Amino acid sequence: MQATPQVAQSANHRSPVRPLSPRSSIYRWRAPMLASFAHRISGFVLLLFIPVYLYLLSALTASPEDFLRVLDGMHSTVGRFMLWLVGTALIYHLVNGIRFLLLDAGFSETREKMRGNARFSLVAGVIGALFLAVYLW
Amino acid sequence: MDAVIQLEVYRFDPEKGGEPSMQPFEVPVNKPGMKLLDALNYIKWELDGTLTYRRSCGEGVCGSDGMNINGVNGLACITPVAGLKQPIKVRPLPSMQVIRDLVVDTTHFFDQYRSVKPWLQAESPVPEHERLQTPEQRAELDGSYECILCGCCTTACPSWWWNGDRFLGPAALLQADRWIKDSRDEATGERLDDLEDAFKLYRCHQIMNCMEACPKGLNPTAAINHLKRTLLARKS
Repeated sequence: MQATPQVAQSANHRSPVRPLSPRSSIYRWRAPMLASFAHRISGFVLLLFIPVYLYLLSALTASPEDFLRVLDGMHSTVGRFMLWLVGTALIYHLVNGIRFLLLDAGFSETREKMRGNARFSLVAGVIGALFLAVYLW
Repeated sequence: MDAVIQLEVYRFDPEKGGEPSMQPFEVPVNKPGMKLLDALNYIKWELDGTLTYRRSCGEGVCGSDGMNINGVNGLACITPVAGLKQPIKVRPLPSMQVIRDLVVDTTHFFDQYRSVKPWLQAESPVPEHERLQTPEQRAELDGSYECILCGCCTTACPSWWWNGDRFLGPAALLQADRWIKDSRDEATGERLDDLEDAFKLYRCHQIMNCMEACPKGLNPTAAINHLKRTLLARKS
């Protein structure tokens, strides 16, 4: 009879006696998973850049002195890094966004192609990041 | 054959309580082509009889022994130990309530499967013999009907981990697509109405873990994309 409360507790779907099996901490990263997460993150970076972009636009056009000050800021390490980050995010999000649109439209439905074009997006992002780094420094 | 393989197996005993832990085991390789299930059987029969897991057919048909093997979901009975990095880390299917060791509560998974009404719905009178399909119509079901509902895909999906209460997950959506594609089914409209929901279907973000995990080589991501296109085609 002692087991009765245990059984009743176990029958509850959210029971504290049943731990949740590990998920994000143990799941192995593969190219398509990385490509999808990188797409969300790059999209978020682009979103965060919108107020910065608006600030730069208004600051650059405020006065000749402001223009020079902001230009100096953009040439600093922090300014270049920001441009690199948002540029990389833009390149990756563009390439992978086109990939997602093509997948939505029904192109490349096989497992091999889906894996292959995820790798293509990631490689394009890395090449874009390297190219931008060379260009900015 | 005297080679030994190292395993680390997830252990949780509800009667003892406490935190789950990983227990190391050493298992001899006792036959060529040894599968992970053989190693688990050896542990249960020779080393520690309390190890608990589901298994039945032992040849990738029943879908009982779905588990997380070195970070990727698969069936223990058709996974050769030879290709696995050691120690082989064996855990229950992710994001599930653990009943004991590798046994998880699949109630919610099968409730979601049931919610897509995975049976033929037809109003028209039953013909004298059977509802016929052309070979082409039958071929439409290839890549869907082979699903054995092992749960490897759904429990591999991060969207389902985080929104599993509302997102149906790859297995249920693959089945939904299977019945929508079936030429004999006459409830396509209602099936699509049921799926047209921001969460049930559209939480899929093309992470494709389902496709990578499926031990039968199916592609639930492609099925989900087909569902989205079918809904779009209906609107336009």
